Amino acid sequence: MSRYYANRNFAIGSTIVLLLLVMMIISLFWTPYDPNMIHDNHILESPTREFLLGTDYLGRDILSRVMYASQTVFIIGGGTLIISSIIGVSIGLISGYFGGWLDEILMRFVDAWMTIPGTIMVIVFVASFGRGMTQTLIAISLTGFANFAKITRSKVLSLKESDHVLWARSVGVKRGRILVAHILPDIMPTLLVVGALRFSSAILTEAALSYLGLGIQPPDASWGNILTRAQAYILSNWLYAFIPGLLITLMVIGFNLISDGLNKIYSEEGAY
Amino acid sequence: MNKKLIKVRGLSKSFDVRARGLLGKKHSILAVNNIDLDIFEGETLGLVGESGCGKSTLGKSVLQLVTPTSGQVFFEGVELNTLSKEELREFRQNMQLVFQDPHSSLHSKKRVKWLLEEPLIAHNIGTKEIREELIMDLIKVIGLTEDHLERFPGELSGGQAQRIGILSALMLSPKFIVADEAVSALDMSIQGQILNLLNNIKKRFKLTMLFITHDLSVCYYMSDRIAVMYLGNIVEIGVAEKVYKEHKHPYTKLLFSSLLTVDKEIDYVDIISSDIASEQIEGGCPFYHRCDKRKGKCLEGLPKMTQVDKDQFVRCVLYEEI
Amino acid sequence: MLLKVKDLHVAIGKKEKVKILNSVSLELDKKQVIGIIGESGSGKSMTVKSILNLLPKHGEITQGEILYKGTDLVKLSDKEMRKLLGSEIGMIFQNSMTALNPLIKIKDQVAEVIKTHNKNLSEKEIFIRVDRLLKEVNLPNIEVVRDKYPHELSGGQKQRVLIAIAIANAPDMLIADEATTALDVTVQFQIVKLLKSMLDKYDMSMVFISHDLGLIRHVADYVYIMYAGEILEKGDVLQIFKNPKHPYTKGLIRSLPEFSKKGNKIEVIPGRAISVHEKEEGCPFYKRCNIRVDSCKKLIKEVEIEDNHYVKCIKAGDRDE
Repeated sequence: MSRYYANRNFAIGSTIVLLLLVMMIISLFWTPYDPNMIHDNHILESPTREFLLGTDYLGRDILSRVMYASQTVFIIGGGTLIISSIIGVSIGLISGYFGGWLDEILMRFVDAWMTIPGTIMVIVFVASFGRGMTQTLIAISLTGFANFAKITRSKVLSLKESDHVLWARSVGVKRGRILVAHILPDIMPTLLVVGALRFSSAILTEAALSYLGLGIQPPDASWGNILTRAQAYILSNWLYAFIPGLLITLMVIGFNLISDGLNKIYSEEGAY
Repeated sequence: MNKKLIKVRGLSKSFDVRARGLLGKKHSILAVNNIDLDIFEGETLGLVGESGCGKSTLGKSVLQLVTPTSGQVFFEGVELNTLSKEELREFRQNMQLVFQDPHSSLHSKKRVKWLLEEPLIAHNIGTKEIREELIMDLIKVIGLTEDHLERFPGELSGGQAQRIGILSALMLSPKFIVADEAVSALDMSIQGQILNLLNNIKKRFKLTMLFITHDLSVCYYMSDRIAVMYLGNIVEIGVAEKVYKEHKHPYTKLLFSSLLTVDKEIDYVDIISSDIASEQIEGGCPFYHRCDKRKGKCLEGLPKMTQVDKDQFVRCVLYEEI
Repeated sequence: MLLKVKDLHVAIGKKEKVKILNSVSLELDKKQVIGIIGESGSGKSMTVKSILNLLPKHGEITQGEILYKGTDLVKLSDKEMRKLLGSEIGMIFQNSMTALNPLIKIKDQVAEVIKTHNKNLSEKEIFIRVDRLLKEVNLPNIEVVRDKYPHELSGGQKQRVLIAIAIANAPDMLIADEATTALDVTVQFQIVKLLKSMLDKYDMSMVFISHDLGLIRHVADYVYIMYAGEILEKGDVLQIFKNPKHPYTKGLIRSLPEFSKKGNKIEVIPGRAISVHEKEEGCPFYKRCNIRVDSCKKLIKEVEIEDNHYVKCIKAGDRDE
């Protein structure tokens, strides 16, 4: 582990993400106020000792809402990462190892899928299936798996010819096990590097969706949808917009630094 | 007369290579050309040749780790190329491969114990306890200890890693082992140790072995019979003593006279001056360009295998007139 | 004496320095070939790298002199050393695959080494020399080969090109480190023959490093046997092989397959070569030696056996068993 932290990018990035994660965990048990509680006499207030970041247009505590929103952000980021990587890596493993017509079909499908711009795909999906947490999760996952599939397949193609895979074949290891126990571990470094970037891109996509009103719907909170609403009130309470925006930026920078750091560590180690 | 464990008939393997560029023409390289070969039970057949001769490809083709382009391989009468993928996978318990470089054939991120268990797990052998016991017993056979089981291959020296490589091939109690340049990557003083180990296990487990190497001295030491390969063909095959001391094929002669060993006096008279030509002759003897005894007849087609002695065969026009 | 290495000590390490060469001394006379035999980790390559000022980043010469034609190479600046390399000293390394630049044509690579040390020659004159060199090393079809790229040549052909580059400026001394290791037996024979004829024709001396005993026996006049950074035995090539004195040398020769009878066990040296990090006081071969005594752990000393044949072993004078 220490060799990871020796890398500056990884150290900074993971610290940022860790702090945000801590905030998220705290929010599961405690926020200053109930995020959905409306305080009638305190609408659009500037930050005070009572409401550290002020209140929003409905009279809800901004700080509490921002903390509560971090849960959504991690769910979206983590959830889409898990779903798209499972789908993509599976396709890549099968396609790369078995080759032949299966590979052809799967890759044509993936290629075709990749020609559809991600943003359009997401908007169309949400427009067809409605807005909300689940739909957002699925929509963003669908834009992400193709990349994983391609990357995995390309790694599998080269690893397939390696000596240690030949060894596994020579002693009679079953194909499925070769894929999962002998090949997949070699691909993990790449997946982690790409995965970290996927996380940040997922969050940005959600923010974009929220901006269009197609993302997480109130009363559910995400930094994206808080930010969208907050724009109108920049002049009266700049923190209302600034804080969620800053948090999005930090999260993205955090994961990008993690990805960069891992990339450097793995290239130097030759794990690539 | 020992029975034949393995029969190879008409085995060929060609690789498709695309020349440079998008529209580069595809052409084939014939790595193994129509090989007929018998391997008898309990013997060690040495397969020797220089780079590009196809010996490694032949070894892997016999094991079906490389799918032959044509030809048949019979293992105790079972025709391997007609087996289904699953049947072949199970059949591998009978035949194993020892790789040249254990640091690349053994997964560097897996512990030795895990690697040794894989063959057993693959064929549903025993329970966890039985497998552990088996590994504990066998680790001593190859001269290592239980401590080595917890290490990663990268933490082992070349010799130790190769012992593990050999052990991994023994886990399934095979009848037949192909050793593909098994000692070539090792230091001199370690080579001897590993050769002793191989001889040891050969006797102990009554193994039949195909010993592939480019090293003539090692080949002679290890083998009962020797087959000499050149550009995909076996050009001479016979009892080790005969091939080593009374070689007949011009290529075998060239090979042995080029050998620089401690016990030899060399007369630096050149036999042939050109390097190996990788262009294959269409039909005809592959050694034609470098042979000082060549004649027109050599181009008429691949020379037949002729028996020149009780246990010696040569593929050369010079010996065909009998 | 063309080259005289006196009591060379080399250490390597970023924070802690580990000694990798201990009191290495060797001599190369005009028209002589000396061979350095050793397995991996013996220090044979490091010795040569020290001579050529090509030690890795954290390596340094802590003691000793390297006298080339009387000049101490250790004291030369990088610039002065560069003037010697490629002109008076030619180098042939292993791995012809990586020693040649894959993106540059053969003729240009040979031309470059001529150009570097002969700034006043015209293009035309340089390429005349290039062709002459390519012919000298017996490359076939020079008109075609000169325009090829390294990957289009066979291993043997590439090695010939490396030899051409090494002798391009008529050096007095060649240094060949595992120069034929990756080559096939028949090709190796050709290259050895070529090297011998070049040495003879141009009155060159050579330092030839290899792990292959048979090769050294046929190439060298005088042999040094290295183990864990030390020279354990040195002598005339025929003497070393007919009458080896150090247990390590004896062990190496005895363990060769050509000396082992078929069917019998090979007499091996037990254990494995130690790395320089594992070295302790006294003889580095102690743990694997079959004639060791307690004093070997503390003392190590060079003994002269016969004319110009030296062994670093306190028991060397004893009768053979």
